[in-house]
Amino acid sequence: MQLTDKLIVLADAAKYDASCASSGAPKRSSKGQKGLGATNGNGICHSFTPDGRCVALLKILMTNFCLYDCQYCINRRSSNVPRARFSVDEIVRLTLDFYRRNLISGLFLSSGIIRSNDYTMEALVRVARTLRVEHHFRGYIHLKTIPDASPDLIRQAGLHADRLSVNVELPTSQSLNRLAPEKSDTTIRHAMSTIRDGLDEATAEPKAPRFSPGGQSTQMIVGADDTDDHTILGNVQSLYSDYRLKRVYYSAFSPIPESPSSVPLIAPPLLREHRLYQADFLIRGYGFHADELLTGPGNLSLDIDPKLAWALNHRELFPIDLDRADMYMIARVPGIGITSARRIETLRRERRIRYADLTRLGCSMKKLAPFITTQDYRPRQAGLERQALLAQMQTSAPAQMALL
Amino acid sequence: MSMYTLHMTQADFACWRDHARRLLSARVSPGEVLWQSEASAGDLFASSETDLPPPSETPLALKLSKQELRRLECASHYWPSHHQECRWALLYRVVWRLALGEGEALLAGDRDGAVIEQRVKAVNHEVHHIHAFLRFHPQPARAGEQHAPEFIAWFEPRHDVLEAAARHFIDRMGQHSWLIMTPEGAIVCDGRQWHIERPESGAFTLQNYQPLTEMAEDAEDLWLAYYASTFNPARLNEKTMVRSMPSRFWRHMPERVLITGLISHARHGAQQLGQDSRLATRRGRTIALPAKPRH
Ligand code: SF4
Repeated sequence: MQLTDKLIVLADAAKYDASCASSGAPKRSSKGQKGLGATNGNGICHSFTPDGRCVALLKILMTNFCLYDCQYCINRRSSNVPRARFSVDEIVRLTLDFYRRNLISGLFLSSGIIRSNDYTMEALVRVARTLRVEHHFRGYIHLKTIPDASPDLIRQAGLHADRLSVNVELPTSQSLNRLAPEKSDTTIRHAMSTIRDGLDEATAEPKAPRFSPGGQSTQMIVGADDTDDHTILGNVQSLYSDYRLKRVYYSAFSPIPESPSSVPLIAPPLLREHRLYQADFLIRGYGFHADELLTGPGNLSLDIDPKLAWALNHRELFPIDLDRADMYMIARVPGIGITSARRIETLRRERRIRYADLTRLGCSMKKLAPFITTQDYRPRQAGLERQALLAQMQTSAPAQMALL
Repeated sequence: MSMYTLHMTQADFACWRDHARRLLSARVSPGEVLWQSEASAGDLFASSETDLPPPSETPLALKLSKQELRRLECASHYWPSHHQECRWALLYRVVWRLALGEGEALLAGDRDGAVIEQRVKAVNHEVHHIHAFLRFHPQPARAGEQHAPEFIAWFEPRHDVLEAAARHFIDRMGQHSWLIMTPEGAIVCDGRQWHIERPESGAFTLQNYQPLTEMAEDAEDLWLAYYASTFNPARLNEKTMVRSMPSRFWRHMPERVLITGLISHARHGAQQLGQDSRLATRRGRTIALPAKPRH
């Protein structure tokens, strides 16, 4: 098979994995040195495809031959797709060539499981080692970790990769048992702990070998089973605290060819995925607890974002006075982000806050209006009930519905 | 009130800083200064530089943190459109107010601080754009031209981002030699050091650039194959793509030739799956389990 054909097969096979950001690596430079590549912690999107997704890394599978039969996956052994396998050399050549043209910032490499778990993992590690050691490649490398691979191979992967990830795949262990019978929640979590321990060791002991400096992340497929957002967010919250995860990625399930009857054949739930990312961000960055965002079973509202939904359910806490409130509370106001909250705090050390300041800070005025007071502003809507308020905000701000 | 005209002999931050220091020590208020960039030198109304008054008995001086200075310098890389305020006048008003004790002048909630913030953001955004969307074209080694760069790119930035680009690409490209040409200047790097060359007059154009570049016909084939295949037609979202990758950059990106086709195929095609349609028609292969899976 020609290299171009392999690339088509193995990029198509890898595109359902969303966890391909190129951020979080330590600073590296090739200035004046043999070799190629740099990282500075910030990811770069070198292109965008018409699905609106960022192309930061060369995202491919080493092979889409797979012994497993995960029902949601296009590469499952019972799927009738063209199969291919890259040689180490081909992956290295593609990565370096794309990198020099400034098309990518590194490599995201995953694989179907061939022969055995260790055999597969070993092959992935060999690609990373060749890039780093033989070619002095200093760009970003993200390796997908095979959960059942031996801890020693995971350690070797961490030596060369900037980020390691094990996918939890599905929101609950029941769903995993049903849709991915060869996989086990226990092994997945075990692999995540191995990575976490490696990370802990590298932080605690300055002399410890380098280990995945960009941390670990995971991905969860949404919409392939019927788990609700309440359960998802609860599980996500414990994933963050148990495994030192940098990010959880959500991937709306895309229907696959010859879809087995165990998974739905409907358009991917993109708006739901978007709401989950928003809620996730509130948990990571704003100190929200999963239980605050959804107090009982069910899904996040698709009509309004989770922060607005939370504020509307807590009218008794608002309006708050921007000259006095805690920064923590200011950041909880719909339409005011963390950065703006910090800027409000700095500004009020110089003088009192005025309503017009908020426009200049780029806050979303329609959203925040009912929730704050300043020396020159008081919300007129203070007395309105939740429904009436929501209705009013939505008629005056139709734009906020067009979130995607 | 008298008016003082100051010439920016070099449109750079260092030159402005010298002027600003002298103006502050002479207590010349922002309203009394006319800033003249080299571009407007031929202007009918341009007057020659006027002598500043002697240093005042109560001169103003200003200490700025490194971070604040960097912020001002970054804002000075913004190229205002014709109806926007001259960058040097804005900067001087800000330091004048700071010198008078108006600490808020550099904060994003302030009237001037907000403009500074908006310009800093726009410049940083454009830096990001050149890091992301610039495309290097590898050049075949040409006999007799040892100094010809191995990689060449053309880019049309909106603000002054050349230095930021130079520092970024020298980190990435190691010992490769490269050339980035933009209308306002070119970065030349021999794999060890870089410098910026400005056009002698006017601007560099594609006519200056094209003769330097040699492009093999199939040079982009692998990239185009990848781009089409990594796209998921079941998630079509044109708006986000255009918002994140403004179309003004497409002209010099090889994938431009695919975009419209991929969109219309995803929208009207019978296939509502994520799979690349080129694969749907190919012969596939299911896999039989080995007698005993080895784990
Ligand atoms: S192990 Fe499962 S998810 Fe991974 S490639 Fe094989 S079938 Fe797909």
